[in-house]
Amino acid sequence: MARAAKPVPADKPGRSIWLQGLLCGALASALPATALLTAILLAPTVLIAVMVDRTSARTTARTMLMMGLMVAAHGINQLWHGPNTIVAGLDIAANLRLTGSAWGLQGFGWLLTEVAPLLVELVLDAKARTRLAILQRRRAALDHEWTLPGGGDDQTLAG
Amino acid sequence: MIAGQYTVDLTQPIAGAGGGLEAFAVANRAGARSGLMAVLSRPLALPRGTALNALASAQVDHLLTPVAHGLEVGPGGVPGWFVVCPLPPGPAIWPTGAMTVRPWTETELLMYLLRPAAIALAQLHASHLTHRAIRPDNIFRAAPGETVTLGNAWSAPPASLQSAVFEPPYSAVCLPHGRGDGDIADDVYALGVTLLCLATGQLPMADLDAEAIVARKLERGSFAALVGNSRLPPTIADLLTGMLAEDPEHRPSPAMLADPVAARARRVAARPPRRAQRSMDVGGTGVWTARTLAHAIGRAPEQGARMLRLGAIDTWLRRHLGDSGLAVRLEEFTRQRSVDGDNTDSVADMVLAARAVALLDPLAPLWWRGVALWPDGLGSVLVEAGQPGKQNQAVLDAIHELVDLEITSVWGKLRAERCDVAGLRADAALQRQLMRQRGWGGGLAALRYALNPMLPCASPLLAGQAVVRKTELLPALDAAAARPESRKLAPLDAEIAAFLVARQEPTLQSDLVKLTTVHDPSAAVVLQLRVLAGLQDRLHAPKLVHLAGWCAELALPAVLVWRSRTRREQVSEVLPQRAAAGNLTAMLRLIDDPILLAADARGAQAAVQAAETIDAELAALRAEAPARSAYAKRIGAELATALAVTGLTASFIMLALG
Repeated sequence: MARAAKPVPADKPGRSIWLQGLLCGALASALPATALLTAILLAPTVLIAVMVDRTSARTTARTMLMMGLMVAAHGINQLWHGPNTIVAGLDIAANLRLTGSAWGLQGFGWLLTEVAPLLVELVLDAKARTRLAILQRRRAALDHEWTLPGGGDDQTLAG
Repeated sequence: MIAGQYTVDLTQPIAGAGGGLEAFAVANRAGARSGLMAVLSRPLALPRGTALNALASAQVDHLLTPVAHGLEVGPGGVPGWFVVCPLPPGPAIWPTGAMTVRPWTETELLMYLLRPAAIALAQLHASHLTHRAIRPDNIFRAAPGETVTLGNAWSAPPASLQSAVFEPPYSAVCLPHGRGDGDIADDVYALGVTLLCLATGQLPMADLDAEAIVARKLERGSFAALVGNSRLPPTIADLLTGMLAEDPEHRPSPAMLADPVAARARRVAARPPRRAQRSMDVGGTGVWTARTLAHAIGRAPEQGARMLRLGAIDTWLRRHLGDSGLAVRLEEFTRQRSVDGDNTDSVADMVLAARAVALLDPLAPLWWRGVALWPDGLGSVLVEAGQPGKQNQAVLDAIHELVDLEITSVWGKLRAERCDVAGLRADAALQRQLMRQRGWGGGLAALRYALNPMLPCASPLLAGQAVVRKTELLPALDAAAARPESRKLAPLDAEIAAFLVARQEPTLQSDLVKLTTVHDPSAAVVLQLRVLAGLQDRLHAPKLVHLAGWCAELALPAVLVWRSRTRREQVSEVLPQRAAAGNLTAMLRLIDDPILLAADARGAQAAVQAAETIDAELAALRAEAPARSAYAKRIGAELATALAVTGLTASFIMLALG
């Protein structure tokens, strides 16, 4: 008699993080200079991802990562075209201009993630207020012309 | 000025010339004495319009024939009707207030009184008119030995100024204003009594009141009651036998009286009324004959009807009067009464009493609830009983019921050989229809105006102005509108409405009906304006500036009916301009334009719908604020990511390209 198939358990978040850690560990063992240089250049992203960005989509960390990668890619490229040793990696990381650019772009990425929603909200609110004012003017004109019951709605968006 | 050529000189009264009414000297247009006088009607005792119109172009011998009539300001500044007629040739043949005069000789009576009076009556009869005011103090002559002239008889309702002595009992018993035009035979009767007065030099039955005179005439017969023990020349006695006959058909005609010898020779065998062996008490009156029984039932209809229902009268007719035929017919009425209603039905009792009177005495007038009148006197009675401040409610109620039940038609059918039944029926139906009309255009008021074409409109608005014809109404209202105190009232009231309907303005009927039921002030104003504007149009009335201004003041509620503020302001601005032009129709078009009103209503409805849509959108805008914030966060993040991806891609490309 055939046994009933057991339901496949969904991947737990803890397991995924463990696998990512294992993968990172393997990568660090295989390419220690690259891993070191990457860790130094993307340190702000790692800090934000681990300590601040608790959202499931990690939108802030994601943006910062991509911003950091824009400069980190050049450092890694330089490492790979050189001796590809830890010392070389540290030399490259010691280049303040490169590391500063990477960290600065990651900071800009964080700022962008924080400011962009506010800007969008401002634009949307302004649009809504304009529409509200138009509608209220139209309603007041109707009320004035026709003396409608319950006319004179002067409420704002705040209610 | 009357008829554009006669001026009444109120400072020159002429005593004793008006036949019981005030008379004044008349000057012609040039201001010279005209040989005419103007007799003033009493308030609400209207002149006889039909007779005046018929005599306008006629000349009747031995009669003060009217030459003109019209409304003019009388003593005290009150408008009154004046009838202009020639001055009497001399004093009245019986001075007013005198108890005796010198008895006239037979020759004087025949040549100077009977013959000229008969000629005048014959000419009136040829024009289908009656005089109805023949009595010694209304007959004049220049001097002894001259023929007499009959006085003015047109300034008051027919026979309303006659005392009971000079009227046949069936006329004397009626309300003074309800005696109607009667028949020329009634004038012959009055002439007969006048002949008797002058033959004896005394007024017969001078010591009796009107009721006693009527009772005695009915009891004994007019000739016996009036002549009594007086000694008369045989010719005069023979003439009076005919002239004072109870039945008008038994009296000689005026043409016959013009030849006294022939009139004397005419004898009509009139059977004296059958007298009972025992009298019967009906309503406190002892009755001996069918005629007096009818009179007693007419005066006391409740008791009469009860006795009829109980069979007491039936028994008396059979046992004591010996008229079983009459008893059988009365029995039929009593049976019909039991079908009409139960014993407490007062109206059924009244119908029974009225039918019994008509059967018992076909000569009797119409009796209803103790009130007697002839149908053609209904209009005058309505005016007299309904005069403001002195209303006779009992008479008005009786007439209301009488018209409502078409009793004149019932009464006419029972004495078909003595009246025009079809005419009475048609009149009764018309009167009932008019009275039953709902609203301001119906009721007794409308009937009063319909039956009295010369009755001025009694609206308090028109105080001081006499409006008789509908063409006079709007100018009078315009004049009233110029007085500030009038503007406290509405420009249209029940009296004006009744007046208009009675004066053949039936097209207003539907608006007048609505006026009594509408409670919305704006609708009432529009209806009033519609009626007045319709009149102005139809009657081609001139500009009515004051009335239009008054209507414009009242039209404020009608302006507020417009929903559109723009239209309201427009109407408010234009209305005074149109009022200043005195054009009511233009004003009506402005405030009561059906097409624009419908458009206004549609506009208001569309505005309400638009407002609802806007309100919904406003509410949605306010409600979506939290969602908008979440949306902004998501879009912001996406935007940041997109920028980062773009930058990263650019960086990789640059790296690849070296």
